[in-house]
Amino acid sequence: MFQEAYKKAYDSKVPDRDFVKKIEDKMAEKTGGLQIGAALRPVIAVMAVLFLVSVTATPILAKEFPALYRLLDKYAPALAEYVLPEERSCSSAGIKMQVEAIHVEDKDAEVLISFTDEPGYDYIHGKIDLYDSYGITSYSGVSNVGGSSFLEYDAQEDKAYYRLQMSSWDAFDREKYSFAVRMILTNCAKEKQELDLSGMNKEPVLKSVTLNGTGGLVDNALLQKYLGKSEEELWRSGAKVLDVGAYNSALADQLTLMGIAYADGILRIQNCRGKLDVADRHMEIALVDSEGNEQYCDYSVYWQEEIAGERMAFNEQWFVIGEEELEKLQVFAYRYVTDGCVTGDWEVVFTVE
Amino acid sequence: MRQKSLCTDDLAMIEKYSDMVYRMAYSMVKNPYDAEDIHQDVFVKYIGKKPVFESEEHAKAWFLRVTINLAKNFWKTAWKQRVVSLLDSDWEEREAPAQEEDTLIEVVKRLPQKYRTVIHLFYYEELSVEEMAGLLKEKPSTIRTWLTRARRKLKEWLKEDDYVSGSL
Repeated sequence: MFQEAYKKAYDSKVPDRDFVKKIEDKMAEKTGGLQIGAALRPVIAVMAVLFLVSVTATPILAKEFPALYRLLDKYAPALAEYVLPEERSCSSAGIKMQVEAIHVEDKDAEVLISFTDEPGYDYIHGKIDLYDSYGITSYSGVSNVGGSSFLEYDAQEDKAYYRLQMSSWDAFDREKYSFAVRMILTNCAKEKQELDLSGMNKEPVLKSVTLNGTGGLVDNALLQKYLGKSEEELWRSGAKVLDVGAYNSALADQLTLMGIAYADGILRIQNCRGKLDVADRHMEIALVDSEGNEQYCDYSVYWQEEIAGERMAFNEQWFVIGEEELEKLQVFAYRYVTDGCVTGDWEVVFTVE
Repeated sequence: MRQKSLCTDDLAMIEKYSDMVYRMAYSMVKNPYDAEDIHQDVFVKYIGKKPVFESEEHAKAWFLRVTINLAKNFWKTAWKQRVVSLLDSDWEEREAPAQEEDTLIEVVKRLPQKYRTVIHLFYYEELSVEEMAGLLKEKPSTIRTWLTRARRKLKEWLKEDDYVSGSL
């Protein structure tokens, strides 16, 4: 039903019927299609420079608008450098971010960025995650794509390294970029832990909870078969989850495996994610066969409970699987944990050439 | 003054993939003006590069990939990044939108971009998790996680609505 509704909604989204002309116009624009008389070009260039100088009297404008910067860089590179100087390192909230190296090979560029503690701070001592809070801005108008990923933590230097990777449609010439970060999750870890199912509870006590979310790609027919409920009914009347006894406040700041049980063809694994916060701690369970193939849960449910005045998040992952098949598999928990989150305002500006 | 016209082959490709490109762009940038801009840029790139496609799937994947890249890049320009940061930073905690006024598209628009992308590829383009992983250069488990989180949030927002009565 969702899919039908979504498709129907998007079927009506179509481009302006005049799009062919617009594409032709844009091609002409990009290839310098406007036929301007040669005699007029210097005059226009001078006027453009005067206009730009006046507009960029407030340098922040050119920094804020890459298109303006590009024009400035073309006609007055020294002023462009003044407006947007290279800043290869910056500090905020006790962490220093620095461009360590830039490597360019034809249409691909890699930039090595390091993160290290300022004196008196101790955030960086393992893997970090920028939590989608970064932005790469091109000031050079070159069409490109980019992304970043954690590279390594060097314990000797006490530095965490991130790698920016950028690909351009044309070879890099001399292009200026900024890389800005707002949030750093510190000491992130993905821990793999094998779960022992030998003492698994096969007669679990269940309790009903009101859901905050569900996940998984299982269809309604399967839910109906194994749970006797459709998704709609799960939402309306609550889902049955493992009752593992009383919860306590010690769960607040950690990721905790709460219980494992198997009954009625469903393996249930419950965990508590602790207090809801930006730390994004969570647990992913995988069943692994002898060839190393991983199978993730068929369905999962999320709910919250108030414990000692704190709202805490719980998750139970369900695998629809026969008992004999289950005995042939290993079960692993991937625990995604972090010390916490540092927010700040980091930005470096560098030239790729 | 127009400098040159498109050849028949180019026009045929544009006609064929135009709607798909526009819808993909719209789902990512959330407004028709920017989506049109990206739509045009995708085809300018196509005409500039003239890639040779081995199959229809290859062509479809190429157009989707370029659209996604351009839309991502578009988002990362300075001022949009700031706007998006403000909008996206607290999405997990955001209250359900006012259902009466909001269409389904408006509700989906409230998800962060990467979640909107997988929702669109999964439900509209009907790509598998593995196909999405190839297209977005992510691991299948990452795609599955994004999809699960997106669906979970949509379910929360749409739970009083009819949409949820089926299999989301």
